[in-house]
Amino acid sequence: MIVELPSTTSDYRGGRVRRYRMGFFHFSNNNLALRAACARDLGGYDLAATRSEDVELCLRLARNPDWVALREHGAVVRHKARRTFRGFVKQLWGWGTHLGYAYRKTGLKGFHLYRVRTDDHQIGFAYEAPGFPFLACVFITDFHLFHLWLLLLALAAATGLWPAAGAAAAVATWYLWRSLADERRAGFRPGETAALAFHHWVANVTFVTSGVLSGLRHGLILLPASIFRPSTPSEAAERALRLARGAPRGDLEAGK
Amino acid sequence: MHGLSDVDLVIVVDERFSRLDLEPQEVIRAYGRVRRFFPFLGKWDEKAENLVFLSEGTLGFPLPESLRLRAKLGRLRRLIGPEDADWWPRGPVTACEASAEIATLLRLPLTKGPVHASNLRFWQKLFLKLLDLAEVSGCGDEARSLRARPGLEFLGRGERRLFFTRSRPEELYALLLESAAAILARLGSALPAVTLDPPPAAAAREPAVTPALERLRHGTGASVRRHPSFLLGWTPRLNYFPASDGVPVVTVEGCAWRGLRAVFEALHAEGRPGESWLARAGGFLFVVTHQEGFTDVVTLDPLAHAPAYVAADPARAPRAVPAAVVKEQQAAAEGIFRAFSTLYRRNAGHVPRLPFPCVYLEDDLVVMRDAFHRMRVRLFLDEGRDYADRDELIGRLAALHPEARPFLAALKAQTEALEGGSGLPKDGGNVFRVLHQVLAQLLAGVSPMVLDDPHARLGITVGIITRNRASDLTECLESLTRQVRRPDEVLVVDNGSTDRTSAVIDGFRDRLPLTVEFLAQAGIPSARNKVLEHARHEVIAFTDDDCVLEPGWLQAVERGFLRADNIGMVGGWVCHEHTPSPSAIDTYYATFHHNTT
Repeated sequence: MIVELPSTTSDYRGGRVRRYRMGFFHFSNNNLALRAACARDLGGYDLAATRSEDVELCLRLARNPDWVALREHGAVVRHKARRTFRGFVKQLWGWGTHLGYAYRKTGLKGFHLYRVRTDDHQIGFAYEAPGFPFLACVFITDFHLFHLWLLLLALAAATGLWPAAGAAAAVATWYLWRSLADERRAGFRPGETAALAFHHWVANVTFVTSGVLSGLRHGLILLPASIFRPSTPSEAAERALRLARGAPRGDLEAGK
Repeated sequence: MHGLSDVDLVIVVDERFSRLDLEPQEVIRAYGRVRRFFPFLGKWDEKAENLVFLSEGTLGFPLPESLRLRAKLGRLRRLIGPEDADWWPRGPVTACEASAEIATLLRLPLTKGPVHASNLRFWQKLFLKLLDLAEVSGCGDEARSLRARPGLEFLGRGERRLFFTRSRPEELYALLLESAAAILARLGSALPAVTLDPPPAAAAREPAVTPALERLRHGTGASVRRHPSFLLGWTPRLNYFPASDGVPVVTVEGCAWRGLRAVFEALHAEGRPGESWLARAGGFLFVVTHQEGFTDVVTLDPLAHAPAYVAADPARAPRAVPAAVVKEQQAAAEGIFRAFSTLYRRNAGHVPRLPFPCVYLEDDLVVMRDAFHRMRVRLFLDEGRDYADRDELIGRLAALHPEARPFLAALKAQTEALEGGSGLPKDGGNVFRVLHQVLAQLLAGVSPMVLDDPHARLGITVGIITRNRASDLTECLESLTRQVRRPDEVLVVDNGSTDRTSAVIDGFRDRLPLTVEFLAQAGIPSARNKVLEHARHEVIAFTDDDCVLEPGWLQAVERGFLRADNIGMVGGWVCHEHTPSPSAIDTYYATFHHNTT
């Protein structure tokens, strides 16, 4: 179950082909506009999808042959961060906790396995078996592999296989270093990088755990990808932001 | 396929895979399967430039010259359509087809790079292709004299030994340019000619300094002048230089190979996406361009692109061009315009649906600049005059089609706003739908045109759900009053607040067209459905109480829905609202959380 999101400008009505970025696509509730006819056609929001009603609506629209979703670069909304650590964890937990419902409601079946590369957030390896009796959707990122090797390290240490534990520790370190690519690229000082990595890790653990649990609750195997730093917004997005603000501003990419 | 150019694989597919709509995922997958058995084939990303997708049937873009040539010589296999399909080229090879192919050969040493160029086997292949082309296009004498040239004795030698022999690319490239020029001169000389005069003289200026230009000047001392905008040919095919920017022309003195490589390297290392130069070396013109992710060189074929050769000529001498070439190019342009007209008509007010599930985005400036370019070439074909200045072009079009005047004014204002980075004008939200209608009719020669109103509007209700966030809601409503395009209705659903929310809302009643609904039982989906139920207008724009809206937000939403009737949902970007003293959580949100969806 791949949801494709064009990452760069693509004048589909003009004549240029651009590459597409893979990932979860949905518009967030705080910046989402609907045509009344389309909302009526889709039947409005699903009352059972508390907290993930936007994901659910977007997936429903994507499966509908009559309507198209459009991203408009100039439509920019600034959203406030949660003020407390508790609120932050609660929000991430909420993101994952109703994912299972939205996925199950699509009615899709099949086994989908994707390896998501850390450097460019593209799908590196894909395996799809549509004949599977229920929906299993597994995204593997360096974050997941780091934890897998950590588990192997613990197992090897528990059984006293010290050379194997050493090897697992080395591989885990390698995956940890790679999964921190986004933090390293963000250009913060070491202390800030550590704080950022910690919060990113907490967010990933919370989101992935609640996603897995909600999948199990709804009878499907679901391993969401970890949360990525967005790739550089397209030129058009930056231009739109400048337009919207009326002044040049270069902080969109650095995010600070 | 012996000889000829660098096209490795030609896939002829039907219009379901039109390259104008989408990178064809199914073709990529099929290519992946082929590659499993032939691992020496490059990755898709590397090959994409060399693959040609042909879209026949409803669109009917004419085949490019290089493929026409191969088809005529029986070196191309067609996989679709009946044997006697009328679009499949037949007959003798024309001058345009041969010269386009020769021009392609000249770019190969530059794009392949120094490793290939230091290998004599590579040059042998290149020269043999050139000889092959000379022979099939009726220049047998030139081919024979080229074989006898001193310095080209290696052409008849065995491949294996050549592979390990070092070459001297400087001399060989100069020889290649010289031989190609001789063959091209022979191709044109046999036909009756028309004379092209240079465009009216205007002062060439210093180009705007870019990092790539600095690097080039620093390394080679090559001279660069910016010429006033000119067309590269009779067809709208090559569009690397937007009219407003002029054309930077780099003149390479001395060794053509080294100079052109330096130009290529400079753009490759420091070029901005979309930065393009015209390079003049050894009597030929090259477009060197840097796009997102790659740098490329395109040789301008001296016959098909004669207008560019005349315009960039420092001696400002008139140029004789075979009349048959002009006729052939004009026919090709008409074919392209017909296909574009079909495409524009199909997409006016309608967005083609991509396979599950995709969202669309458009780069408005690219769409606008392409439209200006196509209108300009259309007028060039009709009147024989190049309206390089955008205001002149608009003036002429307005005189020819008075019904398009409001649209042309709106298009001009919006293009200038986008290029200058200033705020979009208030009206003209429907400009894209009308742009498609205008181009569809203009390129097909329909007059008078039937057009929609470029200033059409939609009714918009803004829906906000709130619960116990009075101070955040104040900021949100405050930003709503600053919108460039004012909301027609603001529908706030109070989802059981117990703080001073209702007082805050009452404070905005004189500034916003507010409606308040109460929903005692907490629940976001039901509150949103309540908004959908009670909204009085055809578009409902949702936002949250903890958001601050940029002034252009509602205007952008309206533009989005106006683009096409089948757009059901419009989203945008969610950015981070900065706080004066950001905490670690703020940094996390700004770096990872916001702007992801």
